[in-house]
Amino acid sequence: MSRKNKPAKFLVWMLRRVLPGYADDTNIGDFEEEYAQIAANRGRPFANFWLALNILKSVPPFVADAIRFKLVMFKNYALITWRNMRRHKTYSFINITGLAVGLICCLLITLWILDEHSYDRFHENRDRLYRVVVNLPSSRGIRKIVATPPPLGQVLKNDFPEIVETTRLSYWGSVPLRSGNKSFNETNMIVVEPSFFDLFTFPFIKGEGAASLNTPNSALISERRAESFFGNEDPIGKIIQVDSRFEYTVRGVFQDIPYNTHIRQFDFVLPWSHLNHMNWYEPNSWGMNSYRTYVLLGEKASFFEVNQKIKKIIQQYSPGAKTEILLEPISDIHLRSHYRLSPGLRGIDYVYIFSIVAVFILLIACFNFMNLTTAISFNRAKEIGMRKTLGATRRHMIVQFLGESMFVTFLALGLALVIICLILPEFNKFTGKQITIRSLFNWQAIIGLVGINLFAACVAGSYPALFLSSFRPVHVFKNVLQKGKKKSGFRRILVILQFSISVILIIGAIVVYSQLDYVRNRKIGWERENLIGISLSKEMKKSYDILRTELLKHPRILNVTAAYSDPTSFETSSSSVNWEGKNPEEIVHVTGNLVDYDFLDTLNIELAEGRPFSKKYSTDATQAFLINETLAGMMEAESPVGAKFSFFGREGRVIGVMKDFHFHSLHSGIGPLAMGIGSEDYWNHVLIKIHQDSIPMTLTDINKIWKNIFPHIPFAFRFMEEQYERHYKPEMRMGKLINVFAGLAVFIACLGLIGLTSFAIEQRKKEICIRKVLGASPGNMILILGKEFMLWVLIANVIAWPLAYFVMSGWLRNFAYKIGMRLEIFVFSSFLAFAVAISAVIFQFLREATSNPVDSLRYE
Amino acid sequence: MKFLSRPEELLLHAVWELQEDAYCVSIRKHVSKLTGKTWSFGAIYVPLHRLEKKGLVKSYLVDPIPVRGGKSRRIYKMTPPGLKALDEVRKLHDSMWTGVPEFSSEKKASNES
Repeated sequence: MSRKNKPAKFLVWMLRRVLPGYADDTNIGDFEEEYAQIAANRGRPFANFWLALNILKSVPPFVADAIRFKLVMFKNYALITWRNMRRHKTYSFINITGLAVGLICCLLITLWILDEHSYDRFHENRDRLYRVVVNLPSSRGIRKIVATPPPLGQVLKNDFPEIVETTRLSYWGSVPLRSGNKSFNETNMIVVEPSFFDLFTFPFIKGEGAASLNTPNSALISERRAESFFGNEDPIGKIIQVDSRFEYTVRGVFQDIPYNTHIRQFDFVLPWSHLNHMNWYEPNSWGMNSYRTYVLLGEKASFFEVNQKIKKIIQQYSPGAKTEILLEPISDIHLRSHYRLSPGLRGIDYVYIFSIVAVFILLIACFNFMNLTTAISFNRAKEIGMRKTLGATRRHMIVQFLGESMFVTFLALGLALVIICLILPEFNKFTGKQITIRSLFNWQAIIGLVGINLFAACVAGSYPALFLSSFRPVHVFKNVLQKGKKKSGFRRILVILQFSISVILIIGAIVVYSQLDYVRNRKIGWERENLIGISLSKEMKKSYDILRTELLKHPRILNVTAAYSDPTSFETSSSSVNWEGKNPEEIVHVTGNLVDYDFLDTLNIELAEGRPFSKKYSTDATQAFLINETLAGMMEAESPVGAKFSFFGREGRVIGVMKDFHFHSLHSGIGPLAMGIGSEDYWNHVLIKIHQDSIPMTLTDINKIWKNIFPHIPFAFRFMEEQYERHYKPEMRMGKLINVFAGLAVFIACLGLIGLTSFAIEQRKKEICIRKVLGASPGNMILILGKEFMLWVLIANVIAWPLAYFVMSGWLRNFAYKIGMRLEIFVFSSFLAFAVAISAVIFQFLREATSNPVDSLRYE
Repeated sequence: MKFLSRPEELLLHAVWELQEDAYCVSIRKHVSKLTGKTWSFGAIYVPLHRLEKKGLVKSYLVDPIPVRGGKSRRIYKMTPPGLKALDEVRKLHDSMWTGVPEFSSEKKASNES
């Protein structure tokens, strides 16, 4: 046999790869024999080609065979899995339910977090778009605001080549609109420059788009507002009367603003020139911090450099000012901004909190799964012994157990996804979001999901897979194996961890709940119950006196007053304040409000000293100030009443000291406050105190009175109580969510404990029966059985208390007024955990106690 | 009786017919000639292996020869159950056809043309 008639080495190697299980020498020999024949007849190249072709041709039958064999094994595995699940119905139920609930929580939180991160990501310029924020230094620290002076935008664009474009934005409160005979109180109006629509991505559907804002008297309208206003008619070219004075033509329709942007929802847009109609608008004032400014940086501009450069720009143009400005990336605003009205927790903090909660819940669910799977798998030692005797290798066992736990986790995942689809609308209502399941349909989310599942499956399946597969069949059959005893230490740790996490979550939920309850019910120093607020526009202010007189004629209207700022948030403040004996070096930012005479009576604000405003004193209208106790304390005078005081550009005297009341949310403390008497021009808000009986009737009556005075303006009111609670809306929602998730976590932990107790009782069935035969009372038995579990829960509490204390006092630090971390909360949480554990034991025991001992003992 | 698959049946038949010469190369040739299409090695090995697992054939190795690159052949041989199975297959075929009206596909085809 000549050397040259041997097939190419590479092909032989390939042949060996291709024929798994058949690649012994005789088979290779078969190929070589035919190869030699063909090579002799038709030459080596052809023979090589023939061989390669035949190797390829042999692949399908081998593959089919391999799959067939695997399928046979798989069928067996599947059958055994199914039988096991049916045999341990309770455990399987607990396993799948626990995992599914855990996954549901985890997925909902993931959806929520994904949604929180989607804010302002849809702008095409998002990477170069920044908001200008302002640091105002004062004696009480730096005030962080987002309102900027009107000339800032133009100056930034002119002075810095890195800044390509700027735009200004002004939000407007309620403005009456009228078109034909339809009128509407528009609360979502903004005034912008045309560049606004270049910087932000808010697409247009109809009409001319942003360019039309260059022509005066043109307005833009949102799709939904156009529909509600004009129905099916074409809105383009329609004339809308704004504030009963100005006529604007609709020139464009834009798509409804998505909810996931930091910019407040707007439905009606007017050009910047609208501000020129306002006599208070000073286009060149550097002291008027009222407008949002956004900038677009050039492609190559560095954010940090620009930030350094523009820092002192206001000080250059307005000598004496100490204001600094900074840029803030647009995509950070929703979650990470410090420049907000309420200084509570930022969005990102909630994202962290919920991420931790999600991980905790998933851990609890996984621990459950691990615990039960390992516990039950000891009962399967015999199966393992049998399989091993019949030739299963350790690898087979690992594949089997991991496969089983994977099957269960994916079953749970499927269940979880179905349930999520069902409850998502409720969840959206709860969180005030518009999340769809579709946000899970991208490859990151899918990889994440499958990853979480594989992780859970591996963690849960690894222990039986690795530990049980090491059993020696001989030991199994000779019963050398100590069932359950050997590794119960591991399970003990898992149960303790589970309960620690549950107790932490319970404590957290109670603290959050009681803090929010405290905030809601705290005496804030003024009465917000049965108080109605109405916003007045410029035109309506003139008619305030008539409105008030008409309203007061109604028997159930107790009082009517007006003010410049809404009592839930006094936003105007100034440092141009002076009093007798004030240290001129000291800068004090005093919050101010201009009110009508009845303000104190209507809101039931108490006086500590002096007298309220009164029409009896003619000087009160311009020269009287009421200050709060905080400011009185700062004045360091024995009695500030009668002291000279200047504020709002007025000179006057202090006539009285009000008891401190909250004019912001409880996140911040009470600052110094001064109030004076305002006049018609300042009445932005009318406050009406009504009798608590038959409120709907009263409201209808007010509406009638309103229609008589303002026939074309719709009556829009709000309850101050709701307004007040709006400050706490994010916390309220988070609080509720935390409660729900904590509840679910406890539920999962309970499921696990029920599973474990029932397993432990089953293991000790004979012991229980013998004790019973010998006359043990049920109480005795519960004590004996429960002792161990109680010890576990006790240890869990010891771990949980300090951790919970640490975490929750950190959260409470965000509130200026807060509850203490009382011992009751801890005791109650622990009591809850104990109660749950005990009832699990009792529940399981009672099932066992009613059975006949003979049934359990007869076996041997 | 347990039915054999058609490839198994053919292979069993080939092993019986080739007698002492029944190893993979010759079986492949025989079966390919019989059916008129080329059988891949894989299509031989897999059912043959299955037959062996079922105990219908047994195999033994004979001395290596140089033309096979010094590798020995695996000769397949019928076992009594194999013979019985083959016999049953034949009986089945016979009984299937007794009493069935005679026909010939060639005749039919020529009639039509």
